[in-house]
Amino acid sequence: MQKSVREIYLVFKGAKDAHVPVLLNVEVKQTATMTEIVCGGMEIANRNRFEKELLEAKKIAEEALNENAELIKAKNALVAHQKILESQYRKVNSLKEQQQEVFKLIAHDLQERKSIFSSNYILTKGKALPQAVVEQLHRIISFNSNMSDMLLTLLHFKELDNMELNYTEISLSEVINDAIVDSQLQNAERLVITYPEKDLSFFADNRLLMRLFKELLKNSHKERNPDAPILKIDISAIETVKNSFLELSDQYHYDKFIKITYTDNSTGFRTKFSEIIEKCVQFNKINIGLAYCKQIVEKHSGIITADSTKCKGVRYTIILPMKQPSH
Amino acid sequence: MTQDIVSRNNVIIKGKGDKTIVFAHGFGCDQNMWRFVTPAFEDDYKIVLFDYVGCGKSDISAYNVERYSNLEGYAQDVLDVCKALEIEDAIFVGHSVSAMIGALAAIEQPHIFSSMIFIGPSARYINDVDYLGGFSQEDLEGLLDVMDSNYIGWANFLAPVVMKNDDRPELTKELEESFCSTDPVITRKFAEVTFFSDNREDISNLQLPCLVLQCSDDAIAPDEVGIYVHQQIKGSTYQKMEATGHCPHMSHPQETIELIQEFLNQQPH
Repeated sequence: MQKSVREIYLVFKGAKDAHVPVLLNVEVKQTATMTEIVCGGMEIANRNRFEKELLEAKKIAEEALNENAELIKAKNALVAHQKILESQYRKVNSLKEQQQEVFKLIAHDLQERKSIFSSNYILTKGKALPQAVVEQLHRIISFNSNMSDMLLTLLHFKELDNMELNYTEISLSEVINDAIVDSQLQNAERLVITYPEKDLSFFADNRLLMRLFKELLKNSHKERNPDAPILKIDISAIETVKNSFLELSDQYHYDKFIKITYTDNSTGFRTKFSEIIEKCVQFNKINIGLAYCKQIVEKHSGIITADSTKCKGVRYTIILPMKQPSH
Repeated sequence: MTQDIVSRNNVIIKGKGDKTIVFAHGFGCDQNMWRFVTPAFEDDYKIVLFDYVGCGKSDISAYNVERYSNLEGYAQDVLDVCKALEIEDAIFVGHSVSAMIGALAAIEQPHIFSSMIFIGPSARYINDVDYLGGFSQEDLEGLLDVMDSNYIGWANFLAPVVMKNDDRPELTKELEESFCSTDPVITRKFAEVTFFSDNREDISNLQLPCLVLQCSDDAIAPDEVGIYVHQQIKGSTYQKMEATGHCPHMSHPQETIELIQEFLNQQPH
């Protein structure tokens, strides 16, 4: 074979004249005394099948490798994103902590300043002061009192971020009544508040719900229409079934909700929940009441909307799940 | 958005009045069923006709099983149409299940409608303690089973029961064809949602002037059901019709028109 033949094709003839084609691989080994030829082979049909299987396995392996490369690429991108998110999360946390510290400082500082000015001060030391100065002092005291309320709400507003809600079964009528009493409006003159005819019970954080109604009552009171002899507030509620995906379109899951409608005959100016600073002629009044209301409702996985007619009043629609959301 | 909804719900606007009447069809039907009634209002009102998604010539690709697993999903169709057309203070005319669908829409957005007209309404089809809806649970489960196994047979059986008026077979045939022309899977689901609905709590929250038109010899919504709906809606008006069957707007359009006009003439608009 002159050491150049690598394959030998043979056809074996069987006892019953059956022909078996075989391909032999040839290996030539040269020793000092002789040349040894070693042949290894298999039936052609098997060989073809194994070759085909090998090629297919090779193809699958190549595809898997490609896929793996893409996965590795995606994983690396995810890791990179995670790092960015981690860094942003740290920044947000840091800002949040700083913000809370600033809130505490402001609250403490302004509460201290506020205590300097009080009605007692004017009563005891201000007797000799001219009337104009006393009037100015009263205005400052009034401003301070508003500021104090606002700071308290501001602190509550910030507290909500990390607050775990304490869900209990609450009665809507009771929570409204508590809010009225707490706002000292139960004996207020020229004010008529109508309760829901049918009392509904649902699960929510009682303390926060009371604050929600306090803020709405406070807002109605502040914005009362000077042309209306009586401030009328009407609160009604119904149980309803709604899609619990309140924001996502094309996602549906129906659940029971309570729909509370709060209407008043105030000036109807303030309906923006995002508005915190209210522009005034003299100075910027800070009023976070509605933003706080929105946060309370959203914390309960609900929604609050408002629509108003100038000089006719505002209507707030509050939709809250009847039960504690499972998430 | 507006065009999407108009084409999704196959909205058709007719008439030349300022005030709008929205006509909402019942189960297994489409807006075409109102054709005997609407011409009487076209001179004085703007007429809005539409098909619920999955019915008539609506865009069937917009059908979402989860959304329409509850009458609230169909009520959202009504609200979507009204929003797209900027409709406010309209009159709602709803046949059969559309009465409850309209009630749900009006409770959700009370400013959209100024008055409601319910033709053959039912707050619940299944009998309950101290409530007669007209059907037992087994009756309706059986009906759904027939829908599953023999859809054509189901339509053949239900259409004459709903329509009555044997002397006018063309109406029964039309209803039967309407049942059969809609997507069987969607119609089967709509049937389940309709016949197993319970809106007894909801209707007491409806605070709009409302006319309840009750047909005579109605196998789908018997007299007791119509009276119940009337009693639950404060200040509503109840009218027992001479018309028989469950589709007076098709079988007795003149009486239907007159009663609607009489009610609308009493409204302050």
